[in-house]
Amino acid sequence: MNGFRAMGCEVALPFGAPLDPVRALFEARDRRFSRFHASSELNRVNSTSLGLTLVSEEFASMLAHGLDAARATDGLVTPCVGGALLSAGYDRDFALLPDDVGTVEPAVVPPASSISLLGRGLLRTEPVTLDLNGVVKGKTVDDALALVGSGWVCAGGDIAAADTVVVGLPGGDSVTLHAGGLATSSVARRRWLADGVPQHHLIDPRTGRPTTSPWLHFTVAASTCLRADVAAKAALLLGHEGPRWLDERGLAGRFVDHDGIVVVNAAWQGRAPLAAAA
Amino acid sequence: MQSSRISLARRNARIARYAIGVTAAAALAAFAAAARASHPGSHVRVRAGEAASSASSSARSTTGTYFGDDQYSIGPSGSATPQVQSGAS
Repeated sequence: MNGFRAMGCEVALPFGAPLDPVRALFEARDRRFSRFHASSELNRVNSTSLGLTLVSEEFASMLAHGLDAARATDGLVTPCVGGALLSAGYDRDFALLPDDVGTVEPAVVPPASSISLLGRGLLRTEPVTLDLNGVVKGKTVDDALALVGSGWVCAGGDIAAADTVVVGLPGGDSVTLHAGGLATSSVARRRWLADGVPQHHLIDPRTGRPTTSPWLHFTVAASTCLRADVAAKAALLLGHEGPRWLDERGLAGRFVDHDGIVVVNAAWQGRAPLAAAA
Repeated sequence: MQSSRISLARRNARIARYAIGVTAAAALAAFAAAARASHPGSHVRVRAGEAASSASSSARSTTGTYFGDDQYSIGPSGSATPQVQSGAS
């Protein structure tokens, strides 16, 4: 296995896979979409939060994926959470956050319907600070796999595979991904304190605060890494409703609660029974 | 005569400004309508206590095509050693 570090995580490919084009892709996406690169296009777009803004084709395409995700999850996974992330204290690269950021206030997350996109024209009818973190990594993993053409690509544990890969799962067991995407959404990492209260990066748009989901990790398999990642975030935000929500969409899900109890939904159990996988 | 020409010029300027304003507003509205038609956003505005079931029932009727495929394959791993770890970041 070979790899590199990008987007704040380890990117891995099988031995022999071409690394340079994948690294270039990740670095280019990171430069364009990171909240923590002062010169990123995302920050330029966010410098004005209202009205009509001309964006690049790549930005428009990624935002379109964000809006698709918002529509598919009824607004749970939305590109409009940038302001809420800032309000929760996540205003700089995670490595630079202090142990405790002090007092924070929840922010109202604007509805995705306040964003319209036509070609490269972005219209915001109310102030919206964008954050495309919900889709950029998953889409980049999918695009990287398309670039290399075979094998698999893994970024921070989110995987797209054209060939079989055995994936370790939170809680200790594993699963074989033969094709498609697999992603885990987790509130166990990227945590910080605000006046002593734990915070994390997964904002619930219904409250404007970090989610209080009963799940610590939520792993989903889907046709692409992007869809798996979007579904994992939505299911985690839906709490106890998450497993059924996935089953209704034919998606396999595996969940670990805060006590370390592992649960799988029917779609997962039908493909990778828990007893056999454990 | 002089004052009449000035009045006329002012009136024409007012009409021009009004026309520009109306045109700009119409263009913005047309853009918004076209943008919404080509890429509508969506949102959920529900109270926290009823959020899960409400969001779920709404999603059932509108989101089938996004996730609604079975183009993935997973299976048991047996005793194989994991090549990668999910949930690592």
